Parts: sequence; C-alpha cells; structure tokens
Amino acid sequence: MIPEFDKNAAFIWASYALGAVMIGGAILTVMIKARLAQAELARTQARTEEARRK
Amino acid sequence: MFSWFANPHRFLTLSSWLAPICYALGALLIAWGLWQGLWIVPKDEYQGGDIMRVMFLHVPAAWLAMASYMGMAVMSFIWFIWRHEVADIAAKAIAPLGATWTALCLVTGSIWGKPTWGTWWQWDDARMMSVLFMFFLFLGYMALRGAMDTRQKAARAGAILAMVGAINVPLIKFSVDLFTSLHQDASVITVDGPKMAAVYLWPLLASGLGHSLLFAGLVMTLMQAEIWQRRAAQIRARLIAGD
Repeated sequence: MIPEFDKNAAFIWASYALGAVMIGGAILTVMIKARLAQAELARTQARTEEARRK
Repeated sequence: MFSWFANPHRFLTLSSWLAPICYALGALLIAWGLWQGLWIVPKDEYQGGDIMRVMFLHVPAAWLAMASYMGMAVMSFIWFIWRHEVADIAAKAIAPLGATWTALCLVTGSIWGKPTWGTWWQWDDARMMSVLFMFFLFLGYMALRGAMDTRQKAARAGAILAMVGAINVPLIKFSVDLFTSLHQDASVITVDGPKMAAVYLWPLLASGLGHSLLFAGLVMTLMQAEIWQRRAAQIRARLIAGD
C-alpha cells in the first residue's frame, strides 16, 4: 500500500528514489570491487603456486 | 590498542563476521525508520506538511557526511603519527562513501528546500556552502591521492588534506547559529537535548544508526578489497623479482 501525501508528494518520492539509487549504487560498486579484488588475489596466488611447482 | 587493530590479518578476520552483522542490522533499522517515516508518523504542519518526511533520509545523510569526514581525518591522523597502514586504508575507503552520503545530503536538502524555502539553492547560505565545501574536500582527497606516484606520497598528501579540512566540520555544525541561514536550527543534537517530539525522534535515530551501520559495513568491505589488492600486488612483485 503506497502512502498518500499532500501536494509535495513528488518532492518526497524524488528524494527517496535518488536515495535508493545513490545508496544502491554505492553498495553495488563496493561489492563488485571486493569480488574483483578477491578474485585477483586468488588468481595471483594460483599463479605463484604453479610457478613454484615448475 | 591501535597497534592491535593495525594488523591487516586481524582486521580481515574481524571484518569477515562484523561486516555482515552491520549490513543486516543496518538494513533492518533503515527499513524500520523508512516505514515509520513514510507510513506511520503524522505529518507536521509547522514543518510544511508531508515534506518533512524527507528528514528521515536527509538528516541521517547529513550526520553521516560529517561523521565520515571526521572518521577520515582521525584515521589520517593515526596514519600520520603511528604509520599504521590499516588506518590509511580506512581513510582511503571512507572517502568515496563519505562523498556519496554528502552528495545525498546536498541533493535531498535541495529537494526539501524548494517547497519549503522556495529555492533549490542559496549561494550565500553558510550551511549549504560549508557542506558543499566538504563534498569538494572528499573529491579533492581522492583526486590528490590518485595524482601521487607512490602509496606513501598518496597517504601523506591525503592525510594532510583530511586533517586540515576537518576544521570545516564544526563550522558546518555551528553555521546555523553563527551566520544567517535559511536552514533551521539544530533540533536533535543541542545543549538542552532534543527539541523534537519522540514520535519523530525515534525513527530518525533508528534511521541514523541504520545508515551508520550500513556505512561501517561498506567501509570494512572496501578495506578488505584494498588489502587483497595490496597482497596481490606484493605477490606479483615477488614473482617478478624471482623470489
């Protein structure tokens, strides 16, 4: 159920929509960055192991 | 105490369980604050009617913007004095997130200002300009670090900028008392205690705590990413050196 606001409803929804986009974007960026960093470290460690075995 | 936390391995262990807790609790508190703010609390005619509901996003964003800058400055100070790498990693991680929440504060404040004051922005308003200045300090911090050719130079230049810029934070807080401003006076953090009715105060505090926990979780995840990147770079350097 969507709440009904007075004449300023558009300003309220615009604020929360921008908030969702900005915070959601920050969360997504941080998660992608962490995943990439973790994968990079795993790849590098695997390469080191391989080089050591050779 | 700083030295205990300054160990990257210890930090990774601690953050691996602490960050998910921060995310879960932060999401719960933000959701409760939103539900209260948008559905439950009555509109305040004195504050312009329903538009005051923007407060449950704008005020936590403003608190976090200032707190994150102070966090970045404190971490920079710790790095500057004790040279703890984890403190520098923390300062570096806080910057982009602090900039995001400061931008959110500016944007939601501007949207709130249009129906309340009749203008999106006022260039000679001390509160608005000091927050905008802090946003540029965050951007400047990131740009300055990025412009340096070594990690040590980046940490040193960034730390100096963060510490000097910290003087802006009390200026933001007291700008509405010291200068003429369109912005209303402080109503939560005051000498005489909160001036706000409990029906608005509790959802606002819950939302503020929720945003803080989410922010802390994100900072920890970014710090983990930076530590993993540095470890990978160290291993690559050792491989190239044939060690």
